[in-house]
Amino acid sequence: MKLKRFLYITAIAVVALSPFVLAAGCLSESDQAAATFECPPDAGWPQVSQVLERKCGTLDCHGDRGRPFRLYGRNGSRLSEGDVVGDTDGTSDAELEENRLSTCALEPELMNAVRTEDAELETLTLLRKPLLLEAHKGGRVWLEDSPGYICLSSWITSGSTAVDGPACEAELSLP
Amino acid sequence: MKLIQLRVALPLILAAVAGGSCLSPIEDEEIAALGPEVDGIPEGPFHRYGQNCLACHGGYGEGSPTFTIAGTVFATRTDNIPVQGAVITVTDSLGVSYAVPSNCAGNFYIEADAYPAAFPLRVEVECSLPENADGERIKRRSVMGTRINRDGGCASCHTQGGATLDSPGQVFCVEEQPDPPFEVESDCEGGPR
Repeated sequence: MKLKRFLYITAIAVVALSPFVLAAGCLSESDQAAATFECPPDAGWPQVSQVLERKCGTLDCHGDRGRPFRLYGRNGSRLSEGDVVGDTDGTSDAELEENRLSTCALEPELMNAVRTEDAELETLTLLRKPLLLEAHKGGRVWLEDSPGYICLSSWITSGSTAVDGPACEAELSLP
Repeated sequence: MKLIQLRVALPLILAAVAGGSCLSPIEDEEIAALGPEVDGIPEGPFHRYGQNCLACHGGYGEGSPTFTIAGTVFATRTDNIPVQGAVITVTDSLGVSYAVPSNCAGNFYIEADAYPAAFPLRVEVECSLPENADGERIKRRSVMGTRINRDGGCASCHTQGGATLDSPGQVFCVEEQPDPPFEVESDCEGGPR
């Protein structure tokens, strides 16, 4: 009976402590080192950011600073003290840069792979979610031929080619 | 014998703990943060003006009925004067509109059964200013600058007071009090106390 009790208590202890043991075992130096990744250039980004701010960056979605893929913007959360929601000054340069990094940092390794053509564009969660290829609380935002989707994807692959400005403008002109 | 008792008791204890707490600690905290009801204001259309209605009436909390959208309209950007009779018109992504007036506590709500809207939503607010010396009631219309993508609880973004880093501030009718000004309805069941 004593042995049975001992085994029972030991089993509970193992189950309770296993997450901590596993977590400690998984950490390595490489996990703590800063990773570098390539983010698409900032040429054309202000227009792309404007599209994302309008479509995704409202306060009840990615304009909420606690959410992954956080976007700042004139009508979403603001970055700097002194700026308030709805300011007429518009999205600041610092906010634009934060948005660019936030967009890349969602899946930095995959973004690198897409940029070097080692992965398909549609593998990015950034594009899969608005197409509703995977679950998205905000539902389907775009189809593959929507101007907003063309605008965003043209920025991701930009460098040798430019951001598709007319597509971005077309998206921004929608009601 | 004790071991057998423990085996029986443990699942029961776990079940009781799980049953006693809710599924979302974030929403539980939001509901708790609303605080108690104000003395003298019964639960109903006039209670908790300015608070996030959908914390309880959004399908998660115990509030009934469930709302698609609900909030409070104030007179100006920073005061606590509720506006009665403001007309809030919501249009969903299918083009279906629904209009509802605010009551004397400034509160308005659209029940989900009556209008199960397809997000995103466009919202406009039309306020009638207090009757002037010529017997006229001038109307002011504001259209929300962004769409509502998922959260129909107006106060979850439009927190009371002016605009901040992460809130456009409360929903209001005019920048400055008109002449004659908006006033608190003294015989209203809700509103400021």
